[in-house]
Amino acid sequence: MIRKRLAAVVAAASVAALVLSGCSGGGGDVTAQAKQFNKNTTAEISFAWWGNDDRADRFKKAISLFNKKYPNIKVTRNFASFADYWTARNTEAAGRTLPDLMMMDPNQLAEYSRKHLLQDLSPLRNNVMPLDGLSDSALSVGKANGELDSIPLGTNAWSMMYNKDLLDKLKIPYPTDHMTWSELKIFVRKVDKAGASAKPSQYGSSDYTGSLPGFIYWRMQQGEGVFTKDGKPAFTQQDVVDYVDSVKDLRADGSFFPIKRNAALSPKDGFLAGQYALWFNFSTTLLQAMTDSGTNRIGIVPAPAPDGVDTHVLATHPSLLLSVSANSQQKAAAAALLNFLVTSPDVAKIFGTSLGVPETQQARTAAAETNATPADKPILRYDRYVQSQRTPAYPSLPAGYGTIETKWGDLHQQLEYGKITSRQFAQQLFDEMSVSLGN
Amino acid sequence: MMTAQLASGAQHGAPRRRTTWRRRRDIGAGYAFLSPWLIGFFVLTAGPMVASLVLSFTDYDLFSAPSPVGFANYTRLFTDSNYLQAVKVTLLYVVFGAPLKLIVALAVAVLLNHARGGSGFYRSAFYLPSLIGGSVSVAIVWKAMFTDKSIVANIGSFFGGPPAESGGWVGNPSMTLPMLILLTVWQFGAPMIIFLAGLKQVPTELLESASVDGAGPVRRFTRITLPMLSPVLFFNLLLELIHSFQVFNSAFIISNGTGGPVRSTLFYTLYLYQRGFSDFQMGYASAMAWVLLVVIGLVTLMLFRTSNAWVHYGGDEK
Amino acid sequence: MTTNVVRESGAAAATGGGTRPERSHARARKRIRSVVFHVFSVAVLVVILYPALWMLMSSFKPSNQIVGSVDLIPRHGSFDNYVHAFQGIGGVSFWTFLANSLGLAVLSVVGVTLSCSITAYAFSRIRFPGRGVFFACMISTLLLPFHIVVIPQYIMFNQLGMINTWWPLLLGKFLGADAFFVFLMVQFMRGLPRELDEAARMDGAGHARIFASVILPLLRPALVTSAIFAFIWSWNDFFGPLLYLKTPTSYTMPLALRLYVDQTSTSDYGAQMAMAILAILPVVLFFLAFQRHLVRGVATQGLKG
Repeated sequence: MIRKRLAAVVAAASVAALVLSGCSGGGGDVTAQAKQFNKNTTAEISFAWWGNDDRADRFKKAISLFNKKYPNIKVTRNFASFADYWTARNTEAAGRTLPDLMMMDPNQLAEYSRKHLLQDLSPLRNNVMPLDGLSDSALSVGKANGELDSIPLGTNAWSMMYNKDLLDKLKIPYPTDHMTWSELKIFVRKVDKAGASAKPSQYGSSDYTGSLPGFIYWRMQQGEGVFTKDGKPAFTQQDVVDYVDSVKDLRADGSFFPIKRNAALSPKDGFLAGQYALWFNFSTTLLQAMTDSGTNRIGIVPAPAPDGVDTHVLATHPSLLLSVSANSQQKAAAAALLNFLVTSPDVAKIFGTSLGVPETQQARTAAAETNATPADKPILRYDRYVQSQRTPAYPSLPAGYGTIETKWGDLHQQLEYGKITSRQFAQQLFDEMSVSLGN
Repeated sequence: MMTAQLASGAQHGAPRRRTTWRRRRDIGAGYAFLSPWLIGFFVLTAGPMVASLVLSFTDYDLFSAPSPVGFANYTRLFTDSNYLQAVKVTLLYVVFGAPLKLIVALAVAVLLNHARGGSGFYRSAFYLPSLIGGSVSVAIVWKAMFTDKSIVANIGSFFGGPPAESGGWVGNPSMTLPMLILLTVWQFGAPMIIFLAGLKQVPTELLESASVDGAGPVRRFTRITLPMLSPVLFFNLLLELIHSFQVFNSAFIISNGTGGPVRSTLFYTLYLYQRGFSDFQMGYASAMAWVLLVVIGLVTLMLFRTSNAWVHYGGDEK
Repeated sequence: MTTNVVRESGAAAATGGGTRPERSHARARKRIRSVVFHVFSVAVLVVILYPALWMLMSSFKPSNQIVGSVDLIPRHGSFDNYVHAFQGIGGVSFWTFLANSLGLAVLSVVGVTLSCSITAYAFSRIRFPGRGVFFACMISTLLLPFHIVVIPQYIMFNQLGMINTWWPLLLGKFLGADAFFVFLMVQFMRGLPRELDEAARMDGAGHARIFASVILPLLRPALVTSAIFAFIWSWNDFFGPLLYLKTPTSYTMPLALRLYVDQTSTSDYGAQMAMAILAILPVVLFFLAFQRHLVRGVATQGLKG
């Protein structure tokens, strides 16, 4: 009996020791490392990202290019699908074994920064990681808790994508880039009517109040705030109810793509299976839309605006970021790889816009010249359009945002199945936010 | 013969010196041979059991040291709607899945038992699903067969069910559990083999004399075969119940780890996994594990207790 | 005794003690019963094996002809899906996954045969204080849900830095943690006469020699059965690798299959089916080669005797 109790005590003690060591900023003095780092320093670093096959192949190419410049740095690749990626990172975070370089999501940035899991990259800027061509405003999105904890790989913006093939077959004209929400409803109903006789029946859209970024965009369009400075919601339960109920009529008369069919297709989506016409998502997903639905004929326009609003309030939003972990023993080497991936025009030639519209002008030009992916031209065009509109900064996302975005999706599925009302939806969402959100 | 008697009588008749020396050597050898198992038992089973009990009274997220919270984890279980849903889903699965599987297994075993030739082939063939049924591969195929516009959806609509493009069984929260129950019933091969072995032990003279006395096949089955099968039935039932409580793979793969849609496939172990290894609420997950253990223990106990009433060992006939 | 006489004459009547028309009547009845049996069994067989066949046939079909199609024979069968599956995932080759699964399975077999046999020998052939208690403990682990130990085990392996290694998956195999196999071998050893032990002991052999030279060779059928089950269970194991194997280069086939399903687009069912077949192929091959062992192993489980 004593032996077992001792084991538990030892386990607890070692955990405590680990935590304490973590707090002391393990990984060595960063500036010293950076100063010593040069082309001949040997290092082994691990690099983790999420994405599909296609992205993994491109990273393989990019890393071998990196190795031409830095042959002494060995890079171990690690990747997972998005769903698994953060579970794995969370485990490693607990054990302080995060990869040296990792892909970061704006949803998780504040949380990871708050837990001191990420390395402040400012000291590394002087030597290994000059980040030429990145503007200060671009860098500002990677800041959290006053530190530069991540660097954006690219930007994207919220958008509405449509399946041209499907619309052509149903003889419906494409959506325009200045639709209003009411016009959208009419459009959806029109597609439904035309697609009803198809086998299987095709729809205009799935319930587009189903994701939190859509709600954020809706708030921005109305000039309203989303999160306060201390990470609390700047909206009320009634706001949520109003938003979700704004399409109550479409939900009630079955004009949306049935949730049963969408759930059966999960983790994929009915849009990607060519069963409905409109998809609301960040612009970077255009490539996935093309490859998954098997056609390059996917158009992209801004999401509709409220009636009577002239311009769209769009904001560029960091698509993906890169961070160096605080527990890394090879921070300088990781920063070198980071710098390469973010600024090298050769990398931009490999990825095009599939990681987001590149941050530096040099990389953007390189991406525009090569047609690395079929989504590049439309995305660059969309990006130019976004830049021309009124673009305030995308709201900075507080710690715990990732949990809330997932919760919104879960609750919305229950709403679509008719298990809860919109009031209960708002109530449970706020319950979750009070637990998970904020500092 | 003599040596056998010597061996069995060693404790009683042999000279003292040889006995103590042999006893001591036996103890040494016994523990030597058992040492791997002993290490394994304490380090991998008994130790973790105690540790998980201790953890269940703490808040532990793998990140900071465990902080004691008394019975908070256990009381939280009663107000956690996800937990209650997980209990409901698992109970339905156990209550309907295990008996159904055993009934099918017994029925097919009885069928095969009456065969003259070729039953060995069928016996092996029916066993294959048991072998691969719990795998990721089969879960994926099962999902493909029950999804939107799938075979089963088409068959269902042919027989008057909802149209094939309404999500199939996978997208319909009221049909996901039946789909998973069907998956476990499909794997009836293993209990069937055990039933077959048990059936072969039923003395044919009893059956034939009963039929001569005028008992029909049903009466012969219920009065003779079943009672003689009862130990095997007991064994199968116990094993099936315990396995059903722990089902994980199929629910995880088919619902992509979500337990959906709308928590209709949120099995107990899946919810435990989510809380323990996705959310890192390890104290809470440990509490869930202990509740599961207690429930399984109670079910086992109940089964053993009631077994006196309906399980007949040895050769006593009615 | 009367019953026997009655039975014998009845049997005689059935086989030829009676008149001609009676005999052929009886034979016809038997044939009809056999035909009915076979028809019924084949019907059940087709229904039962349909999913497996469907999976196999779908892997040869192009993706858009898979979901919803009932017919098994592919119209334009090809190996394209398999070519796709063999290309691996994101730069990790298919053979890496195969090697991982194979390595784990083989080591599991080694661990199980070694540790469970000596454990079973201790339980069945050596008398020592505490044997009864420990035997009961071992049997009760059969009824123990894995989830009661999984969290502390995970914490422990995490502290020891063994996450993403094979240690957590193999340690138990080498420490006799699989009570199923220990039990199987104990049961088997009960059937081995103790005179053999005694004879060896007369020749001056200690337990080690008795185990190695006398018991182990005779234990071979049980060892073979255990090895087969251990291989198959290790190959099919999903939860363990899910918890402990974190980088794609260390994935086993089930994890690779899941990654593949996540990565492929909605429409690419074909490649998923091919990968699923490949993931399960060794198990099926083992089944075909060793079905008699498997069936016997399962059957003896239920006969506590």
